[in-house]
Amino acid sequence: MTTRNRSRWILIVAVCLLTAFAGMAVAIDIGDIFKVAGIGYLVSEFGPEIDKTINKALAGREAEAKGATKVVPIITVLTGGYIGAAQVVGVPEKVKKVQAVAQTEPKLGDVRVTVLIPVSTKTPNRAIQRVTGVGVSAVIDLKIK
Amino acid sequence: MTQSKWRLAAALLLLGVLAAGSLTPLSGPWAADDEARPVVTARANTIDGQQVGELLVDGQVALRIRQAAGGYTPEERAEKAAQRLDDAIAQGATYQDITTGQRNAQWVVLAKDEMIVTADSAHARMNATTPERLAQAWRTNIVNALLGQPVEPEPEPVGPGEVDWYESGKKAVPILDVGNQGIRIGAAQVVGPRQQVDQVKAVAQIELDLRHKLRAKVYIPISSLNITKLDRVQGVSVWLIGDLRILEL
Repeated sequence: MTTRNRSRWILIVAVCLLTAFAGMAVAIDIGDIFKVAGIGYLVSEFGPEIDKTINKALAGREAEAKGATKVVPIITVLTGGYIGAAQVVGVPEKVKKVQAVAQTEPKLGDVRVTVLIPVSTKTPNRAIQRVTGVGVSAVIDLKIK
Repeated sequence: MTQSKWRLAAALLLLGVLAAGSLTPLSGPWAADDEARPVVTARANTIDGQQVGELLVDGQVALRIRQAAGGYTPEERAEKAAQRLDDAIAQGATYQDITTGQRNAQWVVLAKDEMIVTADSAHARMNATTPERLAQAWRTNIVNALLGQPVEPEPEPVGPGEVDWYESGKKAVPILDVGNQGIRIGAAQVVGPRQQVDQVKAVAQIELDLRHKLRAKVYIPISSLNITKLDRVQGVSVWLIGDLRILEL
């Protein structure tokens, strides 16, 4: 069994358990997948769909970006943990190289600053390999009710 | 055939052989090289009322230099570039030896590692591109000209539909919340080509609902503070977001 197939089975079992313990039948939706399987799985499975949805929404406002776009996970610079997802935009050949967006939050007095850097690796705690020619277009996170 | 006719035929054959021999190019490396060697020249020209310098390979314009740099006029720059390229070819450089690289922190076109021309930043800005990409475009032009293929002497300027996302400028601007009448909710630093970055007045933030579970905060660099119509500045993106802490506990 491949790693991908194993991940799928783990996801299915986890969601089934979730619904069983909830004691009622619920539809499996993107929010459950986000909670159970995590951001990595969400991005790999639904990244293109999220990307298309964002682009479609922007096209409706005539504010779409001219360039290639892609959804990648956001990872912290220090721990390498996945903390969200981001849509990147830029030169097509460079966008292909982007594997994640590295996030760091340096303290600048009372101002909270979030720096978002498109990188070509998913483990930026070793060394940040920035991809130039690409920027962040959107930050995606779980909606808190 | 009579003997006189044989002699006439032999004489004609001999003349033919001699004539053919006189038309055949001399053999030897110099003669062959001279014939195959591209002719590199430079000339001044006026385009749209502006003085430009042109570098030509076999009569075809390979480069068009519009900007003065280093104390040289565009024409003088073209002459120097032509001289350098000609010297490099005389020393055996071929199209395969034409490359790009950096000299003194500037992007240049090289022939056998010898500088031919500098892709200066003023020229790059004029073409709405970066010095690196300008050098690559010029290198491609020279290679094509040396191969006898058509060239585009000036790189295409980046228009609204063709974006150069390579950054060369940064700027801090306010973030306007589109969902809340454009209230300022923080600041962002945008990056991109200097010309485009200069146009950015703010970053509009739009919150999108994705299947009621996910939220996407989309950041759109815009050229005015009016959020009723988002006039996006292409080729610019956000890389730093800052907001004030509302509560200090």
